[in-house]
Amino acid sequence: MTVLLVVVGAIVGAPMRYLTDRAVQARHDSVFPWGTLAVNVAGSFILGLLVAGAATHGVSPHVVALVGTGFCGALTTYSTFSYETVRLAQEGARFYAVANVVASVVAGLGAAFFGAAVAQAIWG
Amino acid sequence: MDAMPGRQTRARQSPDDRNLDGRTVDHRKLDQRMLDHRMLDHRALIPGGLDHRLPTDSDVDLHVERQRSELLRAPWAVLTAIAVGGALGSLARYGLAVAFPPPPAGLPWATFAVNVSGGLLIGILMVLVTDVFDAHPLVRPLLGVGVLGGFTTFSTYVVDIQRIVNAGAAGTALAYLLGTLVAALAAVYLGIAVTRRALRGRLSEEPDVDSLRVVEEVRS
Repeated sequence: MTVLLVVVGAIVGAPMRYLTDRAVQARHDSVFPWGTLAVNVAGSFILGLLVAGAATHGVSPHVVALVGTGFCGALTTYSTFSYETVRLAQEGARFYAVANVVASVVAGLGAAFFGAAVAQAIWG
Repeated sequence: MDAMPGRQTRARQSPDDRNLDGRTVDHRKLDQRMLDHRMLDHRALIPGGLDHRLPTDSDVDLHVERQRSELLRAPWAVLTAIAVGGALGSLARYGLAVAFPPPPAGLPWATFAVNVSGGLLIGILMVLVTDVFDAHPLVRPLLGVGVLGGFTTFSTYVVDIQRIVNAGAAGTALAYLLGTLVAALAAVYLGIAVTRRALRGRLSEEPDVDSLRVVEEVRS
């Protein structure tokens, strides 16, 4: 059952990352990988919300498997994030490479803590 | 940006059209490459290396013409490949997380291993699909966007750091944060470098099939 929920979440999450990345690039032509940053921060917020919600029994484990492990896991990516960072550095865009790392980690962590705070407000 | 007058006529070959690697220089490809990397620095324009041909974003890079048009050409095939790959990658990640659950304030080694190995594999994959062979258009969506994107995770990385911080082990959290970062970046770099090195010999010996095909197209 849990396995099925993870699969269903991932089937939605992975194409959503691709489509979001396309949409962001189409509207915002930049070397900086805004699309990947956007999905990673959004996914971190949702997972932070769900995990904190599950800790207070406000969110069921099924929802965590479907939306957290499946959807957020497939929506967010470490492979693309690290690949982009290395490529930016290799192309001489070192500032963008460092900015990508700092922005992703800081915004991702901020989003997760914000998600947890929202969960606390709803279910705490 | 597609329209570039005179680009076709520049696709020609002569003994001069060889770079230091002995590879045939394809002017049409070179022009496209310059367009693709117009936002990046001047080093991207120097022929002779392989790495500048890699796109910047492994999921999708709209500066690369073929990737820009792939969703219009075969929307369902591309999205299905990504969904199937994403499901497979996520299953593998879930299986490892269940097999090796992290202790309450301890390091999530499964997620660490997933994110670092995913970095190594995306480096290898992107060199293979970009430089080596005429990869099927669904290989990158299936394996890169789908499997590796679904396998690796940024959200769990971040929420695990949060969990360790909340457990009062800020030092461990920082070590995990930096450790994953350094290891994954090194893995991508290694994946790209090792694959390029392994292929360099092969590429300089064999004719560039892609360039030959372009020349054929222009002639016919």
